[in-house]
Order: sequence, then C-alpha cells, then structure tokens
Amino acid sequence: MHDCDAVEILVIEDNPEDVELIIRALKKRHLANEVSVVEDGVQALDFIFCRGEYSGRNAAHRPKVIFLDLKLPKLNGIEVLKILKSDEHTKRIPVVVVSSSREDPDIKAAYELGANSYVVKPVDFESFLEAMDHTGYFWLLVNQVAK
Amino acid sequence: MVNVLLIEDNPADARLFREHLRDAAAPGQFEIRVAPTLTEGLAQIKETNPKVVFLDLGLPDSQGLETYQVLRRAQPNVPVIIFSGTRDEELAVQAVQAGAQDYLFKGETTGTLIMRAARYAVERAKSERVVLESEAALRKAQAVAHVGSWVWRIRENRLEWSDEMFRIFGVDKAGFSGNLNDIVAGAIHPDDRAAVEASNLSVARDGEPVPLEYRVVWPDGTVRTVWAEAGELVRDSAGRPETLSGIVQDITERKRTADALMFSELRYRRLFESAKDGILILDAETGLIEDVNPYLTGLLGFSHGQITDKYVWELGFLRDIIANRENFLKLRREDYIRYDDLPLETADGRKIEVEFVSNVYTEDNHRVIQCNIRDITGRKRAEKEIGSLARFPAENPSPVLRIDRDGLLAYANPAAHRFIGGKMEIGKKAPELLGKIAAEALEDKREKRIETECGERIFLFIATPLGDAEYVNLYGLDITERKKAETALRALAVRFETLLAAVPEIVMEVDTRKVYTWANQAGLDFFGEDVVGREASFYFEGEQDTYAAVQALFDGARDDASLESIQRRRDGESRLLAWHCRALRDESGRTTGALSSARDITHEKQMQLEILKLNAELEQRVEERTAQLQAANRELEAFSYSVSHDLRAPLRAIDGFTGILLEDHENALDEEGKRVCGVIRDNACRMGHLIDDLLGFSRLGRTSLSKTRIDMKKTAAQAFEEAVPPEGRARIDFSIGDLPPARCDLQMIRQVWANLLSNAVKFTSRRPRAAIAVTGEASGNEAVYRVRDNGAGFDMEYVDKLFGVFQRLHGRKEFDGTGVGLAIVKRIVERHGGRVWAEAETDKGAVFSFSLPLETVHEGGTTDA
Repeated sequence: MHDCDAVEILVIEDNPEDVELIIRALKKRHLANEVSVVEDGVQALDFIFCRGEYSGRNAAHRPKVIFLDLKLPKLNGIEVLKILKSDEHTKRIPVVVVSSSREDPDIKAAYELGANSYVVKPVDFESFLEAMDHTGYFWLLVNQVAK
Repeated sequence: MVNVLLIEDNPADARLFREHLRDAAAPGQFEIRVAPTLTEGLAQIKETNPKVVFLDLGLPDSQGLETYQVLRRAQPNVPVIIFSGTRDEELAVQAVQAGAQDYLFKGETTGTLIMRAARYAVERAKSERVVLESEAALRKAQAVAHVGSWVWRIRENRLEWSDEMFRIFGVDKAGFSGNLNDIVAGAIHPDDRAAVEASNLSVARDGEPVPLEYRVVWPDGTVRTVWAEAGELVRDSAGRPETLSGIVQDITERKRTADALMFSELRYRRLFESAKDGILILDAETGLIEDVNPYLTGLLGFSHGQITDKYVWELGFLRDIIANRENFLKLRREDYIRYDDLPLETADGRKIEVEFVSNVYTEDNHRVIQCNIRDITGRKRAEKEIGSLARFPAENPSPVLRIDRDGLLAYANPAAHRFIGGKMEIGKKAPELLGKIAAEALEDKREKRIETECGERIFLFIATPLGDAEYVNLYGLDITERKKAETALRALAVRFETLLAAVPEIVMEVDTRKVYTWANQAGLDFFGEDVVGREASFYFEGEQDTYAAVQALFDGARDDASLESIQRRRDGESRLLAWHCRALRDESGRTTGALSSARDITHEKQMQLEILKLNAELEQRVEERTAQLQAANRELEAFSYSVSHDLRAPLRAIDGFTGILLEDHENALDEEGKRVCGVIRDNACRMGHLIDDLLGFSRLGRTSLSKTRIDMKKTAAQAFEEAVPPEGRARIDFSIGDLPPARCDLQMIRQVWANLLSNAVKFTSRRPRAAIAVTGEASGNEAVYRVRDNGAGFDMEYVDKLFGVFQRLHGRKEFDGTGVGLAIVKRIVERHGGRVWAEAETDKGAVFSFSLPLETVHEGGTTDA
C-alpha cells in the first residue's frame, strides 16, 4: 500500500464500499495520501501497536486521528476503543466513532470509554462528507496545530 | 247540838232523865238516845259518836264497876258519867279513879245538874285529850328526833331512861338494870368506852358535864352514832352532886345525811367543772363574780382569774345585758331571766351567739345568781341552714308543687311554672294530670309516680302525701336524658338482637369452663337447638389445639384470638370454622367468658386452595411467557441492530456509487441516464428514511418513560421552530395559546409536537398563507391539546387509517412522508395514558387533538412515584 509510517488518518472499517466512499471523500479534501485502512479490530491493534503483519512499522508514527467503525469482525469497535484508551501510548489519539445508526446503544458506551466524537454514516453520500468535515477533519487539524 | 247517849235499862229512869234535861236545856240543845243494854250502848257509840255517855252500872248484861271498865276499854276517848241508883261513895271514888268524869246518884239529880255534868264532861274530855295528844306528840317527837332523856342518880349510880332511850340503845325495857356500868359495858362501842367513862367520871368528880359523840352497839350488832349532852347537875344540901339529867340523840341518820350532802356538793362541783354549758355564779347582793366554770372560760378565751372577783358589769362580754348596776338590779329582781340569742364577743374578738339564763336562789342565807350561758352558734347555723332549706324549693331547678285535698294548687316553685306552663294559679285547680295523681296518693296514703311530657322535656312526678295527708307534695325529675338514653339503649338492644339474628355468622358465648351459654340463630342452626349447656369440645372433630389457642383470653393475657377449627355440624358433617374470639370481662377486669363469632369456611377454603393452585400455575405460565418475551425482545433488539447497520450499508453503497457514476462518468451519461441516476439516489435515501422511522417506532414500544413536569407551551414553540426553518415561517400565521402543563417524557412529547406541527406545515404548504394554531385546555381529568391548520385536510371516511403505520391518505407526489409520523404520535400518547384523534374535511384543514391524563400536580413536585 503506501507508507505506513507517515500515517495521518487510520480508518478501521470492514465494509469495502464504505472504505471506498470514505477514501473518495478524503481524496476530495486532499487527505487520501495519509490514510491507512484496516478491516477488523485485531488488525487495527496490530497496526497501531506495530505487531503481527505490521511489526515492521515504526511505532513512533501514530495516526493523528482514527475513524473507528463499531461493527467489526473479530474484536468489535468498543473492545478496540477500550484497549486504545487504556494504553498510555495511544490514549491521546483522537478517535471518531463511526456508526450506521443514530440509535446505536454502543455510541453511549463509546463516549464513556473516551471517544472524542462520533459520526453516523448517512445513506446520502453528500451528507457523509459533510459529517466527515465536521468531525474527523476538525481533529486532524487540531492535532496538527498541537504538533 | 250535843249528842248524848244514855245506857239505862229502866224505862222510868230514862223518861225522868229526858224530862229533867228537857226542862233545863234550851230546845234542841241536846239530842238524847237511850240504849237498854251495854252491848247496844257500845253499838250506838260506834254508830252515833255521842259527845258524852251516861252509864247505869246495873244493866241486864253487866253489873257494877265492871260495866264502866268494859265500856272504857272499848271506847277510851268518850267521856263517861256514871248514872247510878246506888249511893256508894267508895264505888264513886273507884269510878272516878278509873277515869269516869262524874258519879251522879239518880235520887238527887236535877236537870241542871245533868246538863252541867254533861257539859263539864265534854270540856274535860277535850282538855284531857289535848294533854294526851301533847304527850303523844312529845313521845312521837322524841322518837322522830331520836332524842332520849335520862336521869342519873349519881349516889346510887342508877339510871332512869325515857322510852326513846331504850330504842336508841336497842335495849329491852324489861331487862334494864339501870346500872350505869352494865350499860357502858354492854351497849357502848368498845372503841368509845374509855371516852364515855372519862366523861362520866369528870361529871361525878368535878360536876363538869362534857358533851360527847359516841357509838352504841345493839345486841343484834347494829352500830349507831349518838350525841350525849348533860343538862342540869343537882346537888344535895351538902353540895355533893346528886342527880344529873340529859339527853341522848341518835345522830346516825344525820351523819349519814351530812355525808350525803358532802357527796352531793362534790357532785355539784364536778357537774359545774365538767358542764358543757358556761356557768357564772354572782353574789346577788353585790354583783361580784364568785365563780366561773372552765367551759365558760374556754368558750370566751379568758382565764378564771380574769373573770372572778370582778363586778359583773365590768365584764365586757356581758355588756349587752349587764352594762351597769341598774341592769344588774333588774337581773336580781327578776328571779329568772332568759335571752334566747345574745351576741357575745370572745377574748380574740370572735362573735358567738349564746343562750343566757339567769336564776336567783338562796344558798346558806346567801343569795346568788347563777347564769347559764350556752353556745348556740352551731345551732344558729343549723337554723340558718334550715331556713335556707325552707327556701330550697324556690331555688330548686326541678318542679316542686303542693296540691291539697281539694285538688287545689297550694304551691308551685318557679321551675314548675316554667316547665309545666299553661295557667297555674295558687288556690286554683291544679293541672289535671297532677291533680289526679295527687288524689290517688292521698287516697292510698302512699307515694305515686307518673311520667309526663312538658314541652320537649319528660318529667317523672313523684307525689308524696304529707302531714295528716291533707296535702301532697309533687317533685318533678327531669328524666328526658334518661328516657332518651333508655330509648336509644332499647333501640340499640333491638338492633343488636336483630343483627345477631340476621348475621350469617355463628355467634356463641362461653363461660370460663368453655360451656356454651348463649348462641344466636346461626349458632343454633349449625350446632343444633341443644348447644347451650354443652362444652365447646363436644363438637370438635379430631385432635385440636383450640383450647390452647384461646387459653390466653381466659388468662387475661390477650383480648382476642383467631383460629380455625374443624367442628361437627348438627347433620354430622365436619365443617371448617374460622373463629374470632373475644374475652368478656366484668367491671373488675375478671374474665367471665368469651364471645366468639364463626364462619363456615369449608367451601371457601376449597376455593382458596383451588385459587392457590391456579395462581401457582399462572405464575409459572407468566414466568414462561416473560422469558419468551424477553427472548423475543432480545431478538428484536438484535434484529433492529442488524437492520440499522446491515440494511443501510447497501443503500449507502447504492447512493454513493450512483453519485460516483454521476460525478466520474458524467460525459458517458445522456440526460435520461442522469435522471435515472437521480431516481436511484432518491429511492435509496427514501429507503433510509423508512428504515429510520421504522426503527424509531419500534423503539417507542420498548424504551421506558421518564416523566417530568413539562411546560407544554414552550415545548410546542420549540418544536415549531425546529420543524420550520426561519425562511419558511414567513408564510405561516402561527399562534399558540396557554397550554396546561403535563407530566410526560420530554423527548417523546417533543416528538409528538414535532410530528404534528411538521405535518401541519407540510399540509398547508400549498396555501398562500398557512394558519396553524395550537390550543389546549384542561377538561375533566385530562388535558387536551390541539393543532389546527388550514391545510389540505382529509376525507373523514379514512380517519381510521390515519394513525396506522405506513398509512398515507395522500399521494407521494402531493405530500411526501413515510406514513409513520402519526403512528408514532399515537403510540407515544397512548403510552402516556392519553388519547389521540383528528377531525378534518378535504381541503378545509384539519384538527389533530391529543389528551394526557391530568395527574395530581404537586406543588413544586416534579417526580413520579
């Protein structure tokens, strides 16, 4: 893929159509070069903590923002979030929770675990882009400034 | 007239005697009777009581001096003159010596002689009788005074005694020696002999008689006290004492009297000291107080010394009667004075009332006044009380009347006038009923009673005949309250009896031995007519601890007890009875038995068991159902989750990739292609909305309500603003009235307002000017809210479909929507216990209404129980 070390945005999403649409939306904001995508919770943790297939990755290069789908194979989003937020090295990485439904009871649980924001994947693509602007982009910019 | 008896047997002599006397005496001067024999003469003396008797000594039944002696013995007091035919000087001397008054010789008598002899005889007899009588009196006097006289012939040492001396010394005259020594030795009390002998010696030697008191002892042992006093000592020519005379007086009685007097004085003194009357003794001449008794000093509070030796008018407390000497003289003059109530002042200034009586009497030639003073303060008070009691009938709050024998009213107190009313006048006919009972009381001479109503009060009149039953007193007692209480009590008793008979419960009374003493009808019906008198255990079926269960009642430890017991009905069937027993106690708290009620719960118990069984089954079923339901819910939640995630993902892809098609391949698509792409995206979006609404709707049924007090006006206004963007509001005339507050779930009720208002906006979108009005009011026990619009309205024919899910009354081209909004409204309102309804007409606008129950709104309270 691309350079895993210089990752700006990590997208954890198992639905390939959604991944494609997210990347397309990020491309339009000219952020696609810094985007990494993983498909399940285990892979996501391996990526972040440079383990398994990502053991060669430089752990010092942490994503500036993580888009975390709650419904994932293997480890689900809540479990991933719990691990990230309880680790000293990763707990400051902003996590934007992505859910298919506003009604999802896991959104509440995610906030309690320290999620920084959440976005509902609307059916309408335009609305999705708008939501990305309001959340992920904001965090990306905040982190860049803090750097 | 001088009554004369001649005892003469010779009629010639008798005629001569008469003639002589007739010639000499004045006519009627003498009345002459003649007796021919001595016997007849004695009889005549007894009968005619002659003043003088002429006696012939030679009579047929007696001769000589013997005749006179017989007469003399028979009649010693009648003067007798001997009238003899014999001139015998010797006989005449003998006759006069024997007591005859005179001796007349028949041959020498003349009328004058006879007359004079008769007169002298009478006079002489009279004077002789006086002498005799005086001698007898002396003797009597000596006897009475117990004084005896004596003469002592000193030389012969012989005593001569008068008759009384023998009596005083208790000595028989016949055996009297006259020797002084014998007498001293025999009759003087041994203790006194020496004194008597000394006295005798003194007289004999010195001629100095000494008066002396000594005792004599009678032969029978009686002791008498005597007083001896000598008189004159006679001396002979040589000057030697010859005789001494004197008296001896028996003073035994006097001494005894003197002792008695002393005792009586003592007694008087004691009386004086202990009398419960005050006694004051004054000197009647001087007015000096001589004595005062302790009671009076105590009564007045003065000491004995403060009163005695003062003049009576100096005593302050007596100033009302003896203020000065004049008053005292009056007291003295009037032997007896009495004051019934005299005020006195005691030493400490207390006023008391006394009765004062004074008597003047002589005491040892000394006139004294005795004043008796009696404290009558208590009596006066009692009299006053009697006086007030006499007024009592007038003050008596109950009627008091008196009716006389004629049925006339003699007295009626104010209460009688007040209660009996009508016209009642003293002296007029008494009220009829009272008059009648009074008459009956008089008739039967005993008390009568009658009850009568006087206005609103009920009186019991008691008629009591009084005095000699000349009138009747009637006393009225107000028994209204008692009657009321009695009536109430009777009604209560009847009610209780009826109640006990009417209740289906068995009611039984037992004594402390657990023997039934009473049963109501239900009890008799159950146990049988012969239950009273039987012990409770007679009806027990099987082993029972019933007695143990009620023992606490009889011990006084508890007042009631409940138990169930299987008992035998009169038909022999065993029935389960539910008993409630209550202890009966008397006034002193002692348990006398128990009163118990029982219900036959045999059938009930069976039903209860049945119900318990059913309940257990039901619970089991409910548990099963609940588990099923919970499983279903879980499934539904999982399903909803899947739907929301998985159903939307393809839609997103359809929409997203159609968008890519339009963006990246615009040039490859003609206009129709682009339109079709638009249709695809519209439908994908629409499906997204449908899924969202459907999920929302299903969630409504599951989430719990969180009710708070909601300001409905504010909530509705906010919902309107959220539903309509600012630029859309210009064409809408929105009004909102005062809405009653409600208790409901804020999120949900917001949804209701949002749905109703966005509907209103939507359906008025074709009006040049939309009019939307929100109103509300409290009505009955619910609050009703309305949203009225002037929009498209709908056909009331389909109103039933209006609130169904996915039900739409307009085409999509006309008005967009999923058909879930009103279904959500309905579900929310109904979950709050309210109703929802709509009225409309096609093209004439619509009114959507919903109600919420008006729950009790606590002051400032916002939470539900």
